[in-house]
Amino acid sequence: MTTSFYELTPKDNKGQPFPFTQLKGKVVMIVNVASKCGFTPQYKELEDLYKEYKDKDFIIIGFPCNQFGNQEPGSDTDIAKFCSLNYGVTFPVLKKIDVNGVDEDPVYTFLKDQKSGLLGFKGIKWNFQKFLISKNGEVFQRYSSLTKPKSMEDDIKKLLAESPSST
Amino acid sequence: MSEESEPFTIDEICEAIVEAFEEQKDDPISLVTTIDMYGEDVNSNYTTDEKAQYLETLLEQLQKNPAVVEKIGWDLPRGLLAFYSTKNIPYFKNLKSSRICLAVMKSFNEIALSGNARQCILSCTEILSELNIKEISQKTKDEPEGSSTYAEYKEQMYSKGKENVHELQLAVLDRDPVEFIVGLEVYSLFELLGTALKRVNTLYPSKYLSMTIAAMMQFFRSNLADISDFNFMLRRAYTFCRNYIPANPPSTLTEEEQKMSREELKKIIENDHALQGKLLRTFSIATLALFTRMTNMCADINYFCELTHQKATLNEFYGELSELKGRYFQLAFSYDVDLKSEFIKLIEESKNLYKHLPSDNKFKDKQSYSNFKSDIYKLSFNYQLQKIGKQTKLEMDPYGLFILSGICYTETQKHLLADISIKDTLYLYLRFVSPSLFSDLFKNRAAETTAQYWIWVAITNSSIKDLKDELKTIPSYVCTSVLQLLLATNYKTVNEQFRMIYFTLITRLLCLLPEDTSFQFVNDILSDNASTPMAKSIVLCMFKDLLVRTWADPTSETDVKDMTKNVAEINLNNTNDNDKKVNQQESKDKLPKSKAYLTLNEERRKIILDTVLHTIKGISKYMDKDGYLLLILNYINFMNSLSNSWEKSQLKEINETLTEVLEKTDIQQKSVLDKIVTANNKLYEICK
Repeated sequence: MTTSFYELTPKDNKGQPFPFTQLKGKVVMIVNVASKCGFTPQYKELEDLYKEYKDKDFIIIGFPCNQFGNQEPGSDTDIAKFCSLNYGVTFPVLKKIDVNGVDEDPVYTFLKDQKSGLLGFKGIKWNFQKFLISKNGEVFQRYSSLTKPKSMEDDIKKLLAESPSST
Repeated sequence: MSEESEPFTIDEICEAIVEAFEEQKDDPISLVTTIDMYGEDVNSNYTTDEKAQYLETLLEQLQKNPAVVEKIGWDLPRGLLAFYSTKNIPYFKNLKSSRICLAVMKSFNEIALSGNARQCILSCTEILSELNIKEISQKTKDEPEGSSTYAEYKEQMYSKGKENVHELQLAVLDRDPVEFIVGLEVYSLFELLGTALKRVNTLYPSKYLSMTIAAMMQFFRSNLADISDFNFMLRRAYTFCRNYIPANPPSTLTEEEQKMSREELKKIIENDHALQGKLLRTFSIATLALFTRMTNMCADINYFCELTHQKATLNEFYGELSELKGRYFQLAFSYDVDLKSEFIKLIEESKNLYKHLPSDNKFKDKQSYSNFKSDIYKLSFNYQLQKIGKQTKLEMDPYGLFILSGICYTETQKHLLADISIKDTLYLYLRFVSPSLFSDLFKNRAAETTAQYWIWVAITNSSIKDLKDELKTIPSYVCTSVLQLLLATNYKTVNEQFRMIYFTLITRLLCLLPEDTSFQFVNDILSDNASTPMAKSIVLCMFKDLLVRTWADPTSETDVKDMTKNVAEINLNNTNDNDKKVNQQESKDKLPKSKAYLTLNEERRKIILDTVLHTIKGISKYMDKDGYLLLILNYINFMNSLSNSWEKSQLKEINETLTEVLEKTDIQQKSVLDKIVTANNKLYEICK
């Protein structure tokens, strides 16, 4: 099992490796997204946050997932088009994955192991759950779908203000 | 409001309600009494519009006075629910069109948001536990429909012309009135409870959650026989679980709690969260098991169709169920259910239950064998009872977990455990299906079909040699018990495609089992007085195929597939079916060349002959039994098509016995009789 966030290498929406080593020193928000969900409008706030802080070592990574109410049925190309056309998304939205269950992506196995959610459950409950990762690759906090991205701003600022350890 | 005095106008009542909120806000008992009295009177004696006016006034007061709602809210649901009735709400129209419905729902919302959460939970769980669908049904039947009945409404719409066709279509024509009212009540109570649980001010919210879940289960279980829309209940329970948000730590602590250290409090909260999680997980899985108990979960159907490149013929109901299945499957993962390890535990448990069964050669005589055989069905039932009796902690419903193992396939097209052995699947089947023979509580169609799916997985993921070798190690009575249950639970299936798949599974097993075991099963069914003629006809057809079809190559699966296809095509309503399937020439051609799946030796011939004669002699006694004459016809066709396998004297005995019986019996069903006579004449020609 992966022991470091930076060892993870998911695939981008074209199937190419997206190694997390490139995220070293950055504050990362990881969010499981879906195009047909009640929380889909969160894309707007996510993009706003990304634009605001992307030059200050902050990045958002979206993972499309169709496990909750079949709300992300399209192909990776469809998803990319949807994000760009409807919300002008510019942060990376990677390849569609499973976040729970027998085929869950190692990224989520790692994140869930580091931080449990509501009632101590590790499992992802719905679309648009968010994880915030520090500049050292530690999972700082896990946020429910109900948490608006904008309300995470203070946490993001706090993490951005920290300097990465020398390790 | 005395009978002699002039009744109040609705305006006067509404004014009185407004005044009561003003004047009695510090006297909750008086205020609730006033609301109850007026509410009851309005609901009994006023028009629909007047009722709506009253409820809207009440709602307005609830919205304006959250502090009053805090005191009285818990006492209002019962009175409000009384307005949910077909005399007030046209069940065939869109909900939004009913002012009464909207006002009641919004009032529930106000109570949920501002009522005392603990009191609301206590009162609503009490109402829910007492909710009785039979009573609602009776009340609905006794009540006249409201101002516009369904028939009048339909008439109005049509008389307005074509432009209203759309509106007419919007009216939900197939709503059942009782189901509709129950649905409204359940919806309102569940939603109120869900919201109140988020607000309850305690260090131990699990106490209130467990109370709520107990009330929900009590409602489900006590009304199970009267609930017709299982999907609705599945949806409600799912929504409750998914939307559940634990209450925040209390804003105020009791004296005792205040003495605790920060760490101690943190620990209590953590432990209580874990308990809430367990409660939700157990509840969701138990609900799944409860409301799929009448339904094929289609893992077996989907898998068979996938193997044979067919499309499953599933109606709309299965579409809705499929969506719900997916939701429960994902819910299980979000509740950290490790499905694979839970499934492996189920396999181990089932193995432990059956692994010490004596092998066939341990029985001294047929009687002791036969006695033991009937006990095998009871093993799992006794085990379940003991398990329930000894249960001291929250455990996930094994039926629910087992059903989820099948849903895993329908959701992911992958088997949770691809290398499952045939022995394990037969034990799983017995474990989950046999208890229903002793109590309806354990009847669960979803578990039955999931168990069938697992047998299919085992059959298709091992070589024929391995399967046959493994089946030889299982006591024959275990195998025949499984076959009998498979037949008993499936032979009445209406959907032709499903029935075909179920019969194919039985035939597959018969092909793979040792010959003696397969024949024993066939004979058990054909000679058993308790088996229905219809079940016997099915087994007869399978038997014929086993006798006629041959193993071209023992390692090839092709023959098994061809043969099962033949059995699969059985159409139980077609009396010519047997002739169509296997003709005499075919049997003559095939029998001598290579080994059939089952061979007729002298002993078996004698057994079958006795059974056929016994059945023929029973005509006068049993001819009115559904399918009995058809069974006779099938027997004669069976003898005709396999005439080469019998001594002429045996065929003659059957022919003469039947002729004699027919002469003595007055059979009313002429069409079947004609066919029997024709078949018997054919038999006469053969044995001449």
